[in-house]
Amino acid sequence: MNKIDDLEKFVQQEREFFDMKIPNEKIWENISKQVNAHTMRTVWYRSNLFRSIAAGFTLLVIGGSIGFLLANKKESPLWNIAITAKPFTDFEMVSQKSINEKLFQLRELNAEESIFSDLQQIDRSMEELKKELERIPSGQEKIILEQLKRGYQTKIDILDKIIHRLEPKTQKQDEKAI
Amino acid sequence: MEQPNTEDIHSLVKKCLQGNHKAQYDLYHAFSKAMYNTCLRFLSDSRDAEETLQNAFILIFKNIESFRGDATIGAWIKKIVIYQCINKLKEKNLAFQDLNSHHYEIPYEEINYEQLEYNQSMIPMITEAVAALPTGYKTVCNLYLFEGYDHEEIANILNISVATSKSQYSRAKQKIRETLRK
Repeated sequence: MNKIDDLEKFVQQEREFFDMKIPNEKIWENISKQVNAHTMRTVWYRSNLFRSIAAGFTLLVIGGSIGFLLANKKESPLWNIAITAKPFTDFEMVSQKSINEKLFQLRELNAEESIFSDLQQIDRSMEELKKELERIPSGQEKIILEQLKRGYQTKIDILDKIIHRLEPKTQKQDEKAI
Repeated sequence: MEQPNTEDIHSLVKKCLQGNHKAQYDLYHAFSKAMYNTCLRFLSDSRDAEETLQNAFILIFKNIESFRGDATIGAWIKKIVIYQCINKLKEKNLAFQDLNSHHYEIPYEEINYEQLEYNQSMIPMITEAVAALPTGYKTVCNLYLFEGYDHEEIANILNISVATSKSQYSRAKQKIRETLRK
């Protein structure tokens, strides 16, 4: 066993007085910035993954319940425009206009109220995604925007298919009436 | 900041794992001063010490889930900080040529030093004497004298023999004493 000499004894006794320099506060700021970007990415990724699954699930359930979504699904021209990186606001405006017209058409076709409430589920999922946009770190918006674009497109697809199903039926009813 | 007790540390680590910013701040403040002084002793340059402390804590927070609790969090943090310091020395090419030179491979022996009267006013002198040591001496001296590692642990950390660690430390102390006597 090593003998403790006078220098070692002194350092042991006064150890805390050898640690008197204080680090600059800026060090914590830098650590905090980097660590939080990492943490936010991790937490956001986890929560976003959950939300994406939830949103995707909502869309699938609605699609399934309406019975149109998954059958004969084709990428529509509107979606193709969207992925050519048109600014999201433009895409949103065009999509919303199209949705409003189709909703008006649905009302004209006397669609069942349950269809509108199902469509509102998609709106709620999309609102959640929009809120998520405000929380995510800068530079991470792309994934959410793409999900929102898909949300709009899904809604348009559903509306198109409902209208398509309702139109011939209405025409037949009209013909019978004549 | 007062050193948190084991229970506090446990809860701090748990909160850090959840990305709790306040807990990260508290953990950093509990250890940053001691770790900054450790960095300063190893690197003898405040800029390098700040950069190393920063990188070490980023590494600590990003990998906190790998802290298993077999050692204390303080020992775990210290190990990361010390490895960062050694990497910094290697990066700056201040690696341990002198440690590996056979010139220093002398057997450790007890030297009968002339007794010195130590008191608190000698703390800055000891600090300066350590800072003035060649990198190899200084690294072993810091690990043994200030960080409490034994020669076997130092040999593992620096990838040197136990005999080299002992002889380096012996020479380091000799040099410190010579400086203090002046």
